[in-house]
Amino acid sequence: MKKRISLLLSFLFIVLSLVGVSFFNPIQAADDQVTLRISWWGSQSRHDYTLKLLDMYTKLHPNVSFEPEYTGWADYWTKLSYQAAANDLPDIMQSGIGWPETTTLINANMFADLTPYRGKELDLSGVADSLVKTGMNNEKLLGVPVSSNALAIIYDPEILQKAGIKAPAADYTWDDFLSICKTINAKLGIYGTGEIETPNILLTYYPRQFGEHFYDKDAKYGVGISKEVLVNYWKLKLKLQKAGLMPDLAEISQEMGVEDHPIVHGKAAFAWKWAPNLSVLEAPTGKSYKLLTLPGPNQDDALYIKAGMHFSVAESSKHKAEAARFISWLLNNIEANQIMNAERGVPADADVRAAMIPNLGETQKKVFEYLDFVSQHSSPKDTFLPENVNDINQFVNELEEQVLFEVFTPEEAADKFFENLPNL
Amino acid sequence: MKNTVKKINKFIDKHKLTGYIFASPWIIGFSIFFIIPILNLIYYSFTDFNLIADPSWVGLENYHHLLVDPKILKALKVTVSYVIFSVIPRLAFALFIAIKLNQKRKGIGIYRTIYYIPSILGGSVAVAVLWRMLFTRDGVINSLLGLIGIHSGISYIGNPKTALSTIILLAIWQFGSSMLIFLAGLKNISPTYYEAAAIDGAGRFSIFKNITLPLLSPVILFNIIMQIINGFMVFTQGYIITKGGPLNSTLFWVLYMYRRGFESYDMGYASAMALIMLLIVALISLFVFKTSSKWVFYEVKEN
Amino acid sequence: MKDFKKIFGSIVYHSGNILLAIIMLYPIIWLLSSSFKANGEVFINAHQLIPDTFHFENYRNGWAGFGNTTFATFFKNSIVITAISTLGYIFSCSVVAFALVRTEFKFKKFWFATVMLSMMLPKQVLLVPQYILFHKFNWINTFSPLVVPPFFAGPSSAFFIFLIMQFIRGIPKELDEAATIDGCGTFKLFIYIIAPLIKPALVTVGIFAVYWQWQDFVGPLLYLNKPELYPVSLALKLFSDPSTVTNWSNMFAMSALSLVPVILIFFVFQKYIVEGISSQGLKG
Repeated sequence: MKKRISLLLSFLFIVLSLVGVSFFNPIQAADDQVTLRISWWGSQSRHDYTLKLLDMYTKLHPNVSFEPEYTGWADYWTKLSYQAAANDLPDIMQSGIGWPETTTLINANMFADLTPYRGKELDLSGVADSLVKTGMNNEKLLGVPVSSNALAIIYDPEILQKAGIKAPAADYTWDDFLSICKTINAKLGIYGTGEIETPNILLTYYPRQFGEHFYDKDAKYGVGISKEVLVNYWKLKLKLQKAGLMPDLAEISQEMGVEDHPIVHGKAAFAWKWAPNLSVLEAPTGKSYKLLTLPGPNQDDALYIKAGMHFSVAESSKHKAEAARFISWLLNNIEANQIMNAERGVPADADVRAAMIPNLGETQKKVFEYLDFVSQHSSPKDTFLPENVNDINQFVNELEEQVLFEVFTPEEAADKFFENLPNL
Repeated sequence: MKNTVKKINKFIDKHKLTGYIFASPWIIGFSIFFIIPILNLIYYSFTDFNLIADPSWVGLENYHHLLVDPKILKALKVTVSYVIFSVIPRLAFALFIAIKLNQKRKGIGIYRTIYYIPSILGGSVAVAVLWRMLFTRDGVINSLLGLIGIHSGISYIGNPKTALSTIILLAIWQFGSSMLIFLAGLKNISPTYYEAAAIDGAGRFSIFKNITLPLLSPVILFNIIMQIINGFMVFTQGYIITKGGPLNSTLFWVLYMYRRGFESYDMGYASAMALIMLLIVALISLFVFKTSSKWVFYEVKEN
Repeated sequence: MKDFKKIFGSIVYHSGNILLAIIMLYPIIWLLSSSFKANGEVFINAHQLIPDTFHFENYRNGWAGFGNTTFATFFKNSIVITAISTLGYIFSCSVVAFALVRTEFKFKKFWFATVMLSMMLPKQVLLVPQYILFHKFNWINTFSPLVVPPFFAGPSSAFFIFLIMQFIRGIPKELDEAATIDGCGTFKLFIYIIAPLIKPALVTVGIFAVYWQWQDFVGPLLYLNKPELYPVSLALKLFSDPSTVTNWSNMFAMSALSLVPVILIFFVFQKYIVEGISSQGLKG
């Protein structure tokens, strides 16, 4: 018995000493030695090569070392909000300016304005101005775009061929799209398309086709879409679902990830995704898919190039200049980008892109070409988001659910939307 | 030396400190790790707090909003039906299996382990994938039903009428932890009672009714109280499998609270929701405790 | 005839159990089979229980972890965190439960109420103020927020205290009185009489504590920044990124592996619950 008690006591001792140790701060290194905390989300391959990049940078700049903090996607934002609450954000953060996930952080001034470093530590000369603007908020540069991205329709040419349909021309319209889906469904008995993803299409693409913006700085409550356009969108989606041209909500909600899309299962010809998702969709089946712009009219007004992701620096960071220098290296260094191999999206810097083109695989080549095309046929992305954007988005999703489960008609849902907007 | 020990002992006895010394881990721990956070929580519930900027005082606004928020009522309804329909079958099943497994037979340890396995999987991503695969339109359940001639095209998880039932089924399937507690409780019943009953020639049912149930009643009370509390706290299943949908049919109270707090960054409202939950669960638990004096048998009557 | 009845009963018993076992085991079998499938195959052949080809490399690739941090590190961290906190729970909760049932002190009812009430608040909301508190203690990036509270009042303490209390209440008080007459002080009473009698409860607490700590990722996510300190539960989340590729098969392989210790511990210790020492204690 005594033995056990002494065992317990020694454990208590260990615990208490753990507590004690943690009370001492780590000793600060010499002055010119800088340790940068850097955090990102991703999966295994991204963690692996990013750690390699950090090592590479430390070899080039021996005075800079890193403390990497990486997690999966969902946990990443949870963790950031806690760290922000304790004013303990990492120096460098992978981020997305203009994403709902970052609005609260931006409103609370958690990201540093990098304008003072632009042209000095931070070289953005090779990045298109419209892309740089995606990192701006109220004239402040809060995030540096490292890659570009665009909406796309990914399609399976084999299915189209089997249904005896030619691939749509670049200037096709929603009506053309519907009739293609109908033909596929009639001839092959499968859906025409996977889900038309509301968060991207309704909020950022569809209204722009008709000269409206879902979120509009000058509109009442920051919402610029008209009832008519909103109703038309929901009518369209409901029609697709009821005709069996698109999986219904019950089925859509079961998808476990990008790689679980009906196109992968051979149950649909079209997937509405981001262009770089092409590789994810091709991987499981080994098939070769193609990229297509979204249906018209007015694609040039509605399509946009956005940043694949940004890198931001914490306002609380004591090493903003060093952080900016590292981000600049990540953006401009060709060797680094070759290791990255466009995994974070098509590189934002023109020289880097040019240097990478000869070594691209077939899938990546398609993505690079598509983004090139879109950059010629698009308009700048909307940057305004109202403060309660998360609540509005959630409300739109709920109303759409009710439309698709036929609790409300599209008109009723749209009325509810505008009715409740002031209370959100 | 001996004298001081004696003095200390005397002091302890005189002031009835023995109890305090034994209870000190909780008293210290609660005071440090709980009281400050709980006080903070109460304060937040009267503020507009987005987790990052400093909270600003809004008085009773969050509570007012609670009264008119239609989703609150929905969340309460969903949660209460989850509690009612999961707690009773789960406990009954766990008790039944525990009694069946509380014997010395070959290979019984393997059964016990196997039955516990679903509880270990808990709320992991693997369970989410699995559950969807079982209950989706062309899933395992519909295939099995097809074998016996029932052709159903329902996607059980995607259908607002059946989604909650699949989550309840998951809870029943994970009966292992309640089973384990029952097993431990059964073991704590002294075999002398059973021996005495055997001498009296009591039947199986009468042994169960007159010995097992009363002597197990403290543990049954524990399981009921804990299942009710944990039932109200249900979160993970709704979060990873159904995401609260479809049509909010699995929008559990804590899930809605989490959304408000961590997705809409409205910690003030989330805190108010948490405190209301505390009130509801405390009242129900108190009620169960009060009635328990009628059916729970303790070896020690407490004053 | 009697033999026949016995054999028949045994057949019914085992066939019933085996049927139930299959239902209960299906997920594990499915998880195992998924862990051997190629990455893209996980969804395409979701129903297939035997993979076309066994991809053993999923285990190797999963184990490799991230950068230079392999799953060996993650397992080591999990074991350290789980072992310390489990000991903490068993020690502190049994002592407190004893105090709340078998001793008298002022405000006992109040403290019991705090035990119960602490379980009725959703953990998610308490995390924010707790995080800020631990941050002030300078506990970020140490195991302290995970292993120190169990020695006092951890996230699962209340559950365990209440559980042990219910078991102590089932022990006849005559035993205490007899022991006290024999000259046992309260401390000795606890160590020599009560503690051995509640072994099944303590083992139950141990099993739960191990499992809960093992699978908890929220605490580690918030309090640990350095991947070298991550436990397995959190490391498993590093495989998935819904916006790009999720390494499903590597994740399933490591998920399957992470269950092994928990299942083993259960299998080994469930015996102690059922063959508890309590009966012998009472006879003495």
